[in-house]
Amino acid sequence: MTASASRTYTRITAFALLLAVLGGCSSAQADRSDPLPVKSKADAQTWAQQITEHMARTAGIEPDPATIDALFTPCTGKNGETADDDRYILMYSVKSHVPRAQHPEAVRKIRDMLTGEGLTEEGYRETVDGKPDALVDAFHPSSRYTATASTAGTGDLMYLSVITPCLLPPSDGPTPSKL
Amino acid sequence: MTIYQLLVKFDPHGLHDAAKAWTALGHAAESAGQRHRGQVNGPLAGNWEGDDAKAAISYMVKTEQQLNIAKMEASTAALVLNTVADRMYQARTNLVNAVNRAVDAGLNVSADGVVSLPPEGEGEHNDPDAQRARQQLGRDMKAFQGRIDAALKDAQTASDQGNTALGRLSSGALDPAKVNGALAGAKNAAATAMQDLGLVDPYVPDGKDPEQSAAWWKGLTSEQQDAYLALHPDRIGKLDGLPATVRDEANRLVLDEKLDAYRSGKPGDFGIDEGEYNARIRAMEEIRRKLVASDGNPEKHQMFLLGIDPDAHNGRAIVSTGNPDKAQHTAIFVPGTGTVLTGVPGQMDHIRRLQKAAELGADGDVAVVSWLGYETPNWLNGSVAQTDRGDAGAPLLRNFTKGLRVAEGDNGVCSHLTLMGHSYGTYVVGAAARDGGVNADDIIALGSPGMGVDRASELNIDPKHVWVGTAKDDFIQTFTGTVFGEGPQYGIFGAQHIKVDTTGHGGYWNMGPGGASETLLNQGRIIAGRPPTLAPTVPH
Repeated sequence: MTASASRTYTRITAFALLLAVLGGCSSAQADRSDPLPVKSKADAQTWAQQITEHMARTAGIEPDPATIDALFTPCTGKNGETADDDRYILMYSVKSHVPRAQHPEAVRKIRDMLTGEGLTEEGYRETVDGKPDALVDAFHPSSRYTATASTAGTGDLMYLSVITPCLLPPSDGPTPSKL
Repeated sequence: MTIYQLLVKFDPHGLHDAAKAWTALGHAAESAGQRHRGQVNGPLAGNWEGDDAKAAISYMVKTEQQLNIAKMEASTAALVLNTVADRMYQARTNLVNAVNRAVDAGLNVSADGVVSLPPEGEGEHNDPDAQRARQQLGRDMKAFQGRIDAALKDAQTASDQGNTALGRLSSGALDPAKVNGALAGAKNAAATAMQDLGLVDPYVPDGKDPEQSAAWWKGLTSEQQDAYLALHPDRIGKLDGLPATVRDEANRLVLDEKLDAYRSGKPGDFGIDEGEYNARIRAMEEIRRKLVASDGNPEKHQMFLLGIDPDAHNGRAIVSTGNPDKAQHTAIFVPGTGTVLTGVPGQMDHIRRLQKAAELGADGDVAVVSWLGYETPNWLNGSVAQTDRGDAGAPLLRNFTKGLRVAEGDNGVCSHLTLMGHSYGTYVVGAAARDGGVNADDIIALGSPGMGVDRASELNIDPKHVWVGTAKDDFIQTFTGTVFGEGPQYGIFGAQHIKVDTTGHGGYWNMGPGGASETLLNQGRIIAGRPPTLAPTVPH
């Protein structure tokens, strides 16, 4: 194995672990009654950013850091109730300028990578009415996050996003919050 | 100087100038309140936690309450002064007209307003015609005296009423030691002051025609708008067709007044038990906290309170994340069975996530409204199996969507509008669309028992833009085909079927321990005017 191939192998392995592991979840199918994964908001955002960067590298596209948007909202129950332990959900996204014609190929590469690393394809398309308009939604069965790559709007923009399940911040002090 | 002399010399400019100064003070209080919300309380409330934060935020809430009181009292003082000035000036005009007409008729008017006959001329005493004319002049004299006396009395009454009304207002309302009831006290004082002036029922449109409401509002002077906002926020906040910023300002004041009234009262005052009483207070506090926390965001992520009434049966609250008058994509979410005021804070998180899901793929800004604007049924008393609450809510929803179109039109916007419902809320949406259209470009029905029609084509919208989502194990499917109409999940209904990967009747936004969902992403796509991922049609 060459040094370059070795680095590539190491990187793939690292990202496979990154994609699989969230806050100490096991690789087995998560159960609704399992304890919530513990993760600080800062760590969750870093982790989501790494996944989207991995998706971008896979597709050969360049995320625009100026478009990063991270929304933290409280976890809510069926009747709108919230717990007082600051449990939260992160919806993280970043956009990228990619010529529209290349969206299907980019999304296809990301889909193949995600499913190859254990995520379940929930939604996929390459065109709408015969025109390039691509998306892939993939769900990680144990870490229970959703990763999406998609055409955005009517122009050349694509977005990459990660939506986490409900996470519990560490109990050793307050963390920043944002509605 | 007699009252007559004072009134003759009366110049209303002094009172109007004083009113302007009070109005300016009200503006200053309002401006300070907005800056406080947007630049101090908002950013801190959204990012500062812990015991120090609790103490500080409580103090800041008190500060905003005092600014609200100052604004309300200043607006009341301005209205009183302007009203008194106008009434006294009218009295002066009547007085001067009466005096001039009396003099023209040949009567004398003394320096203190007494009308008298002129001395008899030479030979008039024995002239029958002159005597008849003099008798007529005597009758005219009494009439002119009556007009002068009436004018003086009107002026005195206006002055006395103004004096009494201004006396209702007190700087004591700003006493920092007064924690609860201060805003309610100021509101009562303002209302009583209006009664003193006979202004108990000022004209406000009935709200049934949003275009008429908008035209009425635009026809008011800014001073009049300020007075209505300060003194009648409950009536202004309800008016569909008015700008979202105006409704938000009015309804936040209503929320503060209601919260203050509840905190300073007891359950029996509101005809409810202690559990419900405490739950309403907690809900209002949480709604307020979330509104304030959003004030530090850019406008597209600020929250607007478009309606609030905690006293209504199950509570009413209409909240938007993002300004619906400016967004290029707007969605209105109608909740279903069992949704009450205590669920509104959770709905505010819910619409924020829907907004984010839509923003991912949207060109332009997105606003999402949670519309708890009707009396939702509950599961226990049988109301859920009847259409009457939905039928009553449908025209209210139609009015709201029409009002939204009117308000955004004033900004030159014609947004892509999505109307979405869950559970019984889908019946409300369907009935509203069926009976006159809802100005929507897309309709989403999630967990629907039926939409009041048998075919999507009856909803006054292209059926290709009617989207239905039903979880495989959603029990609601057993209710379809009843009084609510054909089950929208069936192919024969003729709607588009979005992919749903969540479970249960309440899981369409499941972001809890079960994880994120394709269902949520698809709702966001439709709101953004983008095609969702589709599911196979269920045969019927």
